[in-house]
Amino acid sequence: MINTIKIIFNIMASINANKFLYFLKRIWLIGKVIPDTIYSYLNVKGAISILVYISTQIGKFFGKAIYLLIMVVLPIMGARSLFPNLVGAEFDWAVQILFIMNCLLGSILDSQIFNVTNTKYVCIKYMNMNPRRYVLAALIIKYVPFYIYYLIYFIIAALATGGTIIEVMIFWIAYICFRLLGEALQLYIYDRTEVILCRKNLILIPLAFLAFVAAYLPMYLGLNWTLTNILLHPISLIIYLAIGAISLYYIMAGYKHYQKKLPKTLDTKYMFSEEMKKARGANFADVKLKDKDLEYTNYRQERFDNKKGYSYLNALFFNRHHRLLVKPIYNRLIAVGITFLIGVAIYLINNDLAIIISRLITGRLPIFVFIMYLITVADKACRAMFYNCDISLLRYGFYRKPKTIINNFNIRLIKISIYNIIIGGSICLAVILFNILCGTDWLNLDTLIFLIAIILLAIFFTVHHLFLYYVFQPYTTDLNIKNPFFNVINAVLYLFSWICFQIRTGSVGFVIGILIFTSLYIGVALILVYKLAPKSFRVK
Amino acid sequence: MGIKKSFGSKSVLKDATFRFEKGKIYGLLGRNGAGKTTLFNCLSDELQADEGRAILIEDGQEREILSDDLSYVFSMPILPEFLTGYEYIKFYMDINEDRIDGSKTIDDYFDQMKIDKEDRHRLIKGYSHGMKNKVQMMCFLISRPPIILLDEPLTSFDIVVALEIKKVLREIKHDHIIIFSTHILQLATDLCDEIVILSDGKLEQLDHDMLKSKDFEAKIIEMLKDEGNYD
Repeated sequence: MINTIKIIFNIMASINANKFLYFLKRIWLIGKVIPDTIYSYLNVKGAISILVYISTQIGKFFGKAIYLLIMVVLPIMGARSLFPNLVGAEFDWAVQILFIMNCLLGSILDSQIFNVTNTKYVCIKYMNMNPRRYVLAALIIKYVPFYIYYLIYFIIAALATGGTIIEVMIFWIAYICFRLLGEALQLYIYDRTEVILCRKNLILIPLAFLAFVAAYLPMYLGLNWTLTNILLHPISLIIYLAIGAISLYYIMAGYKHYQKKLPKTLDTKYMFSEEMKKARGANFADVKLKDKDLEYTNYRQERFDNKKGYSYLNALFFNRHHRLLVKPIYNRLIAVGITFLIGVAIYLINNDLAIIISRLITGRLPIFVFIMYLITVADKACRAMFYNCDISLLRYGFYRKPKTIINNFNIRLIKISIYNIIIGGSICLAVILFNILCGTDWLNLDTLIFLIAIILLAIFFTVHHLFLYYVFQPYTTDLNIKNPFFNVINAVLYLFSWICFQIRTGSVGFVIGILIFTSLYIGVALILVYKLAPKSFRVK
Repeated sequence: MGIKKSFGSKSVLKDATFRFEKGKIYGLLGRNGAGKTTLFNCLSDELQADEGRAILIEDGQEREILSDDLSYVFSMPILPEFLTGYEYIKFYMDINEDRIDGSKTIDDYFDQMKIDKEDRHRLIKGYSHGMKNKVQMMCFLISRPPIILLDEPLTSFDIVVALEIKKVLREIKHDHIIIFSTHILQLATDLCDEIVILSDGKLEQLDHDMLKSKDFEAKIIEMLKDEGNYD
């Protein structure tokens, strides 16, 4: 066992050190100084892996403090300030909340046996390590520090709130035993039904909801009753120990099918590491084509007969992406329609309120900046273009000709602008209809500027995403995002839209500012695309 | 000046110079990691060479190689998977309409490559490796560029198709410069008119007489052994 733990630690160390060096090499200037041979300096790598391990453990240690603060300390302090009768019962409440959230819910939400990590994947899939030995070693690696950190906090909490060390120890043992039960139960269920409980959101979400209600609702109703006396009773301790012992036996010796069944559960979809997910193309998971996407074309084949070359290619592209790009538009139109109907309902129920809303709505352009940001389909369209079309065709010289790139860009710009204008237009229509319904004067300059701004925003967000895609072309063949500017510009725009959302009220100055800004941005972005894209639009 | 290309501190192409002639099939031999694909990528403008460039001499006129002058068949075929084979070839014929052989239809090309009628109208997504390679090869039959680069293409074909493709290449070679990278020695000697070795970042043509000599294989292995590239 110690040998297995050593091997796992070594693999983790190598992965972490290599990952760290890889990122270091990608940093501007610093990266250039570090030689390619750095990966062969085993001493450096050893030191890095120790530093990475220590910093991770420090993170975990303080992470638990933050968790306890948010989940236990703050809610109890909040309830205590509302209900003075809870004063003095803090320890009892802390035990009860932790029992429900950590011992019960946590054991179902989390499973060390079924989680998928980079190290686990390497050990079991690539290196053919015995899955049983891996699981047992991984349980020790995770849970030993895990329970030590928690014990420290539990003791501090008990000293602060009047609990005894014995009570803390009983609860701590309960926590260990319930986690073991959770692992064993998940294993048992998987063995019998092939269902992995901790991956079933349909079951987990209602359970989490129930747990939250059970843990916090009584306290916030001012009911000072807890089951802590029972939970910390010596008889309970015997039950915990029995549960723990049976579970431990099942995990260690009772379950016989690790070798046969565990490798099947290593689905990279559930990999925790974001980097690994990205490396496997999760950025593009929502733009993958399915066979049924072709069926849509089959009964509309005649539409393409008169098209040639790039317009033929793009017509087929958009047609096969009907499900991915056009359906979301329908959904957005339906959302606009429903919002309008809610407006009608408000009009019928509370006429005065509806009239006030109708008068205010065209003055609330800042909110619509954020809404238009959220409902654009251009981002998804760009990812679909890359993943399903450009990643392959950009390898060919004919597709990289400057004239072709611009020609293609224009076709796409028009098509996606139309998509976004349809959505923007529906918002405009809904606003006008609502104003007519409420009898508000809408034939005025304010409304006109509002409508122009919405349509401009629709075009703006189309141009923005296409501009980023064509000028920065951020995606690599490995489906990673490589260009830091892409993320920065996108983040700035998000922030801008979000700040607009917070402003809520838009003065005339704001509206004119938006008109000028979007017009300028569209102009500059298009000029940059025409100037730079022929060179920048490549697969990195 | 020859082509130079380095990745980090690793120099892959060190002044690679050669004169390829029309009408011949060249076999580019090199060990794993010798830089065959890098050379092709530099020629096709997929990668920017650090120094040097390739020149096309046509009717005595020197000029740079343009994207239309070259067709590159990748060892791992990459095609837009949302199209059917038929649609892709129609698209490709459309964009090359000024230089295609007007007497041939899309189906003629598919017939030439022996792709079944049913398969033509299936999504490329479902094509096998060999089928995708056939579609890639149809592209140079259609656009007939002066230079054709093939990066280990025949390894994915079964023996019947490989034989057919060899026949096609021999038929068309008179109008093209065909460079064929491989590390399968027998394929190189069987199909190619000349053998060029890429070793230590440089190109070197084998003496023509050596191709027929008995200890040809032993000599090649001796030449390649000296190189320090191992995978």
